[in-house]
Amino acid sequence: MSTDFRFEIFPLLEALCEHSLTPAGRDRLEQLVIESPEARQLYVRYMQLHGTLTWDAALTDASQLVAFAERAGTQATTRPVRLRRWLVTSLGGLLAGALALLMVLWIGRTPELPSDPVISPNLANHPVLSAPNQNTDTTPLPTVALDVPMSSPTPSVMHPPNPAPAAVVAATVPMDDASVVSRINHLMRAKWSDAHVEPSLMAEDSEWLRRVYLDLLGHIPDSESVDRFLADGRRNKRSLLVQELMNHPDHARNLATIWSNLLVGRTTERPIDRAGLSKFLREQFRQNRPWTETVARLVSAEGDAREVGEANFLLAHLNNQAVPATAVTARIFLCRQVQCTQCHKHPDSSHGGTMSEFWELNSFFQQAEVVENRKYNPLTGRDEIVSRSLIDKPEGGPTHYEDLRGVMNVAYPRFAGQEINPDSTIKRRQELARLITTEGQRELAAALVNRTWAHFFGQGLVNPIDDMGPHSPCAHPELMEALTEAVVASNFDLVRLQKWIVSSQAYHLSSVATAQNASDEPVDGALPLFSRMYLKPLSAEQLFDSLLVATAADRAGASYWEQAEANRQAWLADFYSALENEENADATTFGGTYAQTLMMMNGDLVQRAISNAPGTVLNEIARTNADERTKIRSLSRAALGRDPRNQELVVFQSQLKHRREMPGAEPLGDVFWAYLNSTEFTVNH
Amino acid sequence: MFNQGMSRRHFLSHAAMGGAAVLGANQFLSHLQLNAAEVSKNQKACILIWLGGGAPTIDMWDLKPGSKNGGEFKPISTAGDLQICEHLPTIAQNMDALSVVRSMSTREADHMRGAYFMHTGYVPNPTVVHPTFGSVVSYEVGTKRQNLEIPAFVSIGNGGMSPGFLGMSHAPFSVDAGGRIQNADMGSMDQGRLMARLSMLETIEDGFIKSNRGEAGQAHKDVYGKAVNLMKSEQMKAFKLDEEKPEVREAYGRGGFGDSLLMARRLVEVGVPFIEVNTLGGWDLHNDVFNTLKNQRLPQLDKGIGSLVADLKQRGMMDNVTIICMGEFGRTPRINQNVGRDHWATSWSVLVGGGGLKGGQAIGETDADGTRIVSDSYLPSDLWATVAYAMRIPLDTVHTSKRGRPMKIANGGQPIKGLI
Repeated sequence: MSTDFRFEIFPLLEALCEHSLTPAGRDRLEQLVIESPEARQLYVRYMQLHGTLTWDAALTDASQLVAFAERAGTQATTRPVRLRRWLVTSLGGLLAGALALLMVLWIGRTPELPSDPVISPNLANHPVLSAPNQNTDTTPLPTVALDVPMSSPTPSVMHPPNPAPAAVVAATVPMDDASVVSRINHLMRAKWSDAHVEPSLMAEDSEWLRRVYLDLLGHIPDSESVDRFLADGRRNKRSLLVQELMNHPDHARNLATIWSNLLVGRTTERPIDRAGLSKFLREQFRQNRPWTETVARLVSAEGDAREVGEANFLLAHLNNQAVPATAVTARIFLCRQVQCTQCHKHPDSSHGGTMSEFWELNSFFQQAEVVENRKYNPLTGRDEIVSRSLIDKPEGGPTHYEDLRGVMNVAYPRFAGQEINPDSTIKRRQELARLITTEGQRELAAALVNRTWAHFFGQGLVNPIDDMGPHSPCAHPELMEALTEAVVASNFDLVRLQKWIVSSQAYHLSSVATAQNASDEPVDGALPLFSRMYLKPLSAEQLFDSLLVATAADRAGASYWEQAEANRQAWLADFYSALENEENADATTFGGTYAQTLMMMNGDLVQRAISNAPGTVLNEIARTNADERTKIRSLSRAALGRDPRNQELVVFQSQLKHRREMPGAEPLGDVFWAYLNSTEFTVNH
Repeated sequence: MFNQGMSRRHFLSHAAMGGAAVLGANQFLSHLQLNAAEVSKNQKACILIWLGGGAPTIDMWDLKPGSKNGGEFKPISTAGDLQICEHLPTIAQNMDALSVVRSMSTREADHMRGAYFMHTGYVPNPTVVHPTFGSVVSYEVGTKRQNLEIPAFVSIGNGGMSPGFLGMSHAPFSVDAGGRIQNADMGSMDQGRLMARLSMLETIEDGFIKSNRGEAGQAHKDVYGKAVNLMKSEQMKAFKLDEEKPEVREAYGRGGFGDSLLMARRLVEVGVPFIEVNTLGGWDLHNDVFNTLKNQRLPQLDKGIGSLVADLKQRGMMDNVTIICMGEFGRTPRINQNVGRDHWATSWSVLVGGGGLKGGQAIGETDADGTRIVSDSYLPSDLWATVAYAMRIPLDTVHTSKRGRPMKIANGGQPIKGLI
């Protein structure tokens, strides 16, 4: 579906549902719907979605939908009724016809629905999996204008291979990195060609170097690494660097940071051992354990939070009858929004979206309980909580819940169509972990692909990242399919998935837009084409860590995880707080706001960085005998990983001339301040 | 960076001199202060009091005595033509200035979606980020207030909504209830040095903006311009509550919420047109709703809003300041098994008043059990259109999304008839 087309029809549909469609708009919509099958389908889906949500958000549960709609004629005061009337009078027969068409499509599930990803059960036909040379390592590497893809002879050479037995299907299908990368490139180019865009030029070494450091390690390269890389003349230096970075301790730390934030948020206000969770994740990522194993351990963890790091995930979410645990588990691991189904049925119920399904998933958490471990404190003379444990009570039977009309219902633990034995002897969370990683395997893999892709490109293949399903258009269904297959076949090897993406042509494109791809602008709501690198604002952690790398303002920590983490957490606390509701989300003042701006201009960390104190990067540069231009260049490389532009040299040197006549701190500190405060420093481009 | 408004142009002239003289700046500022004091009294403003989590409005503004859904509280008479909850006596005394819209029907009963809908007037849509209404006011009103040196949209207590396609320079300036603004103090640094820094920064920024990498560079530059303005501004004193008399502070109630409302009034006085107060959270009352309301939430809410209204009246500001008090939705009329109420967007109430709108009214009506609306119903777009009307923002204003898509202000809503 072309972007322009979507852009024309979506506002019209929205206006229709919002009662704000003009007569001209209505005529245009009618024309589109009559002329184009694509538009017809979109129209039907949109109306069905809207109808389900609106009607259902009223008084009744989804099974009452039809009855309610019939009743509606006599109750002309509520919005849904007005909408319905309006629809009937203005679009009349068209709507009826469309609804009839809908019924046919829904019941028949005809395979030519263009926006349904076609899932082929026949793995052997899959291009990735049937690629030639799959058992050899002499495959010619796909060329990306530069020697970009992995040149190492065996995949995952530095990481221990995934030790757990692979899924039955996957184990029989070998696959090498080069063919996956080549497949990504092929599919990408086909997309660009279809959409009539040309990819941007390849990113310069300095641009790409900063990018890959930020994405893989979570911080910018120090100036030594910049100097070394820019001076390196080897053709395959990019792939060598990727290999090196993936074995850097910060690689696992970066992944642990990202997933800790997803799993329990950033605030430290919740009574959990956040550092313990982070440590568990770091170890899992360092050893590159299969993602299925990590997920299973998080879902089924039992024990004292201080000893069992993974238990802290659910310890954070068992409040309010484990409603948050249910919602967060689905959203983080499966990129699925289930919390809405507490009130209304999902528009496509084949995707699992009814109120009962929400509570069936919730029922897996029914046995989970938080136990407070208390100890007598002789100083206060009281028993005090020293830690909390996650346990499973030996409890069976159904979970009870009230629907919106106050009728009591029961739900038994059931996931992906599999009901489990509700006896008290069965550990439900262990069963859930098993089902997610077996029956739910494809969904788990697709979600991992979407999150990982978005991590590197700033946009997922499906957006919003965590709302996947038939109602969310995918920017590149074939690519999603190929990568999902590959992840399953690799036994959920996250490092290899990262490597494929980082080795693809798209990841090496410049962020500079050209006349041939200016239309590729996903911030405006178009489906992303990835024809250039989109700007990604640095996360709070990336900004903090990058400031330390650039300036050495705070030498503490780099070698001690706990201390470094504690420093960072203290700094982050200024920007994050818990939202006061029962769903455990965070609020932030970070992200290009005044708080961030003022911190960069006047905050302690930046002040220390430009204080010219011994040991700081500024001091190391300022006290050399090099000339002023060289010093400016060193500062530019330290902050931005590139050399200064001519205009910068001219202006800075003239400013420094003024500054030399004035008393005060090291004038070069102001140059450094300017680089650190630039847009370029605060984005990954 | 400094191309917007008089003070910034003034500022730029210093920047161009590479940090020579600072004389003049102080005179300029004191001139501004005088001006501001004269005009601000008649300037329009809106204070949004956000009840994060979704307040049980059936227990506050639209009680249902005699119904199974009625709960524990009794209605009391007010200075207006309606009854409200017995635990809101100070507000009741001031209800002549406030009205309740009892027929909100807003269909989004998820926290994130509801918060988005109520703040923007639009349902969430993956193709565009709509601006929260505070950003709309910043864009429409703030940019016209030449004397305003601090951001036109202030959020007390982390209201995290986005300025959307209007850009980061219309994002809320977030402060906590203590009015502490971190890092806004330049310390002992002299003007010349700041100018030198800014002119170097501008060189780097211009290079990046010209490199054709999208809009982030310009947005960053705009926010820096505003940040520099506020760092230098005398108007920052609006955040300093210790300038208020102790009895005023006691009246509002010491602590987060009362302090926030007092700060909101002070911000209105220096010309800030939109303040969101988000310091009385914890309304997501799935459990134990009546005890929590009676003992914790309602006394604070009552003291704060009651005193704010009395104070605004006394200062002759009530007709210029619109107050809206709401959360992302209401709560179920039915009381659940945990003596709580769950999310409910179908029929609920919002408190609105001031700004020249009619007070003492109950607008719209729900049935005896509170489960459905038996009058005209209203959407957030209608509420914001009412605010736009009160603030003299023309309702035919159209904004354009980045992609060139026209968007009517307040999503084309209409001012609520009973209020105007």
